[in-house]
Amino acid sequence: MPVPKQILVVDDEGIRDLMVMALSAIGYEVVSAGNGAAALERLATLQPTVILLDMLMPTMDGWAFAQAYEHLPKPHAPVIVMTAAHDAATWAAEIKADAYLAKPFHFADLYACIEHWANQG
Amino acid sequence: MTASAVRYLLQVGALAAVYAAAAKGGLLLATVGAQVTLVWPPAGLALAALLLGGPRLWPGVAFGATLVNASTGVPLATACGMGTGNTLEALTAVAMLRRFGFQPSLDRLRDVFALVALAAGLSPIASATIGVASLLLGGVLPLRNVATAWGTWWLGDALGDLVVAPLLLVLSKQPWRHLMARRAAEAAVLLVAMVVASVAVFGGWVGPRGSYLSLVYLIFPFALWATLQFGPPGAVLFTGLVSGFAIWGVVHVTGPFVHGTILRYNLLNTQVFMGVAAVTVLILAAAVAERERAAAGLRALQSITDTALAHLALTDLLPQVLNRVTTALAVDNTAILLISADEEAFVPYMARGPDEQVAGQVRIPLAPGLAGRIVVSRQPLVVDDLSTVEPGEAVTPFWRATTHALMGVPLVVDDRVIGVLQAGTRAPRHFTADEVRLLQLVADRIALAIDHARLYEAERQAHDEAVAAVQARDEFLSVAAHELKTPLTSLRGFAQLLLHAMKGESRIDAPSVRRALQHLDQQSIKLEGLVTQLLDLSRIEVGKLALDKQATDVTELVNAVAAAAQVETRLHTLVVHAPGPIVADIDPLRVEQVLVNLVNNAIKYSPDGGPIDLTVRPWADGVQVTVRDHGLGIAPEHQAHIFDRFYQAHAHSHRSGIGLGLHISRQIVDLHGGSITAAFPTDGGSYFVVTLPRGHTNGPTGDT
Repeated sequence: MPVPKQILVVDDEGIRDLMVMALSAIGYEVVSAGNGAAALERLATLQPTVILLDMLMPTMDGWAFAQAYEHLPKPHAPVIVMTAAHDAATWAAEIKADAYLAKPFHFADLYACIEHWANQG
Repeated sequence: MTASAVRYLLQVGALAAVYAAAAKGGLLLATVGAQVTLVWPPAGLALAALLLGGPRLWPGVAFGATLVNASTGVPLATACGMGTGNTLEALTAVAMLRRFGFQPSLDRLRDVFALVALAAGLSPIASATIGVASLLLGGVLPLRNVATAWGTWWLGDALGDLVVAPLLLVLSKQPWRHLMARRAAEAAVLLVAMVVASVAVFGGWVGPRGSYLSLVYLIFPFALWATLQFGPPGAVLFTGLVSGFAIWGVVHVTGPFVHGTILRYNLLNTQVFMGVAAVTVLILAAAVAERERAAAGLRALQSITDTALAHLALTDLLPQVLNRVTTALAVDNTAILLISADEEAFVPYMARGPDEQVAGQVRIPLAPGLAGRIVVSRQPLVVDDLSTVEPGEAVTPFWRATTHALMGVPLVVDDRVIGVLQAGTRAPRHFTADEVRLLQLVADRIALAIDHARLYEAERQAHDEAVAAVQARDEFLSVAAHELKTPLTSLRGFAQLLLHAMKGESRIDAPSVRRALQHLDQQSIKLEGLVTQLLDLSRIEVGKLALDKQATDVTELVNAVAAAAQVETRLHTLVVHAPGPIVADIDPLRVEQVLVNLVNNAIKYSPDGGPIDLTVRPWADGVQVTVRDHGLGIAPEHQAHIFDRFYQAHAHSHRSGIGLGLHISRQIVDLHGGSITAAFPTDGGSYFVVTLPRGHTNGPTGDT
């Protein structure tokens, strides 16, 4: 049995729970963090295939996380911004994210997005 | 004897001596007997001395005149009579001129006309009449010479008033030294040229004696030069100098006025010429000075108007205008007092001078002050000495301390007084009608500008407020949308997850189904809470948030809220301090909403956990509930706004919420007639205090 690919979900508890269930159902392993700072801690020991990133978080928001992530050694996982704010596209462009998912999202879009970025290269 | 008495006696003595010397010189040229002369400089000397030093110096004139007259060999009684005439002449001239408001600088036409008509024209009548009568009575003057003697006397004295008096008056009053210093070279050239021309004309250098009367015209260019370039000082210097040389020429029997050898006729020629020349240059100089003042006033007015037009904002406009007014009127203090919106007080909008720092922070009652009088009368007001004004009457206490002379004019727009413009000096000064007129002209021009600036500012403020309101609403909508979508994301996500499993597209175990359903339930509750808040907000906005009051034990309510919150958190310890049941007539659901909001905030904003203390205690006629946490607190710049609609002190740290909780809480507490306040202790955290009146709590059901 192949080792499942890891997806790092950076968001609040409800969404993390949802992602664990939704993505493990299609064969991914979900690791999660409640904010940017916690995510950076996880990245010290993990090499996720994709990062799903909320923007508005306490302690360290998406912008600060993206800035810090840039300074970490490569290779970098693709970053997908997930936000309920109406300027999701702008924010994604601001932090040079690879894609964005506007909340609330349809599972088909979530799966398509994950499959695309996880199996790239 | 006091020092002032000594000084007075010295002044009188000096005046008598100078008067006698000048008179002696004049008498050398006596043409009617030894006592009556066409050249009588002491008349001008006496006039100038009594005008400048005050009529109380008259004994100097009386002594000098009587002494000189007695020295001509007339009986003492006659000399006394003549001396009386000379003294009365000077006193009547001074009295008439003072009554007329005469100013010795001779830079106004009215002053020149007064000098010519009252001093030179009328006052010598007294001297000539009394003097000639005295000579006649003393038997010194034959009856047939009376008319000639009277005419000679009158003309001699008049010339003294026209030539000598202006010279002394102007040179004592005008800032002529500055004028001369500024154009020293030109003044020197002019002086030398005048002397050379006078000597040439009156000394008989040009042409044979008396042959060319037209030579006199040679000195006219110098009259114009002196007058146009140097004003009244130039004019009086010219007449003094030329007059001296002309008489000197006649005495030496040379120059254009000498026709034959009869001194009387030659002097008469000279004096008529000098009289006309003196009047002409004095009038010319005064007219030029008036024009220059008017032009300077217009320039000042123009510059003030330009300033008024160039600025739209009051804060730019007023300091500029006051600077210009201060310069244009050469005053120390200026202020604009605008009537406040409630029309009850003045706001010293802007002041230049020592009181600058006071401006803008003070309200001055409209009623008792000088400025108030200006507003009521709509007339300018001039105060020569502010210290003579009743304390309650003073314009403002701070002006009183620093200002001696003051003038103020109303600022009128469309028949509506909007304030007062004032100018004052530290040194004594009498503000003339011209200066008051100029200030009023300035006021008329800036009043409109001020009014426009105020309208503009009000409009801009309204606009800014509208823009800010729209912006706040937009931000709120975007925050609200985000906050509503967050639970929706969970709802939709878990719903899809379960659907997928039901359709057999993925496998899901029983505990996961349970968790998913729990999330659905929780997020629904969260969504409901948000929607309720929005509904409450809209009820508040239209004033339809109603209370359902009933007798409620506040302690019980607080205990329930704390217990419910404690279930949700393990990090925090909620402790309730209460003396026992305290019943108040409140809407239990709404007050619970307030308490839940405060406790949730306390939990949310102390992310590291810790104690949260709630107290309940009787307070005056009511009950007080406090909530104290030891968390993040609120940054000082946000503290004033936390009860505002849509306000989120922690917006930038992305802690969830739509910024309505405290706003709605405050509205609920206000509806109860209570109060809610926040304090931020120095050791961190927040301290909220809710005070509610107990109301009527007679029955357990209470009223609604």
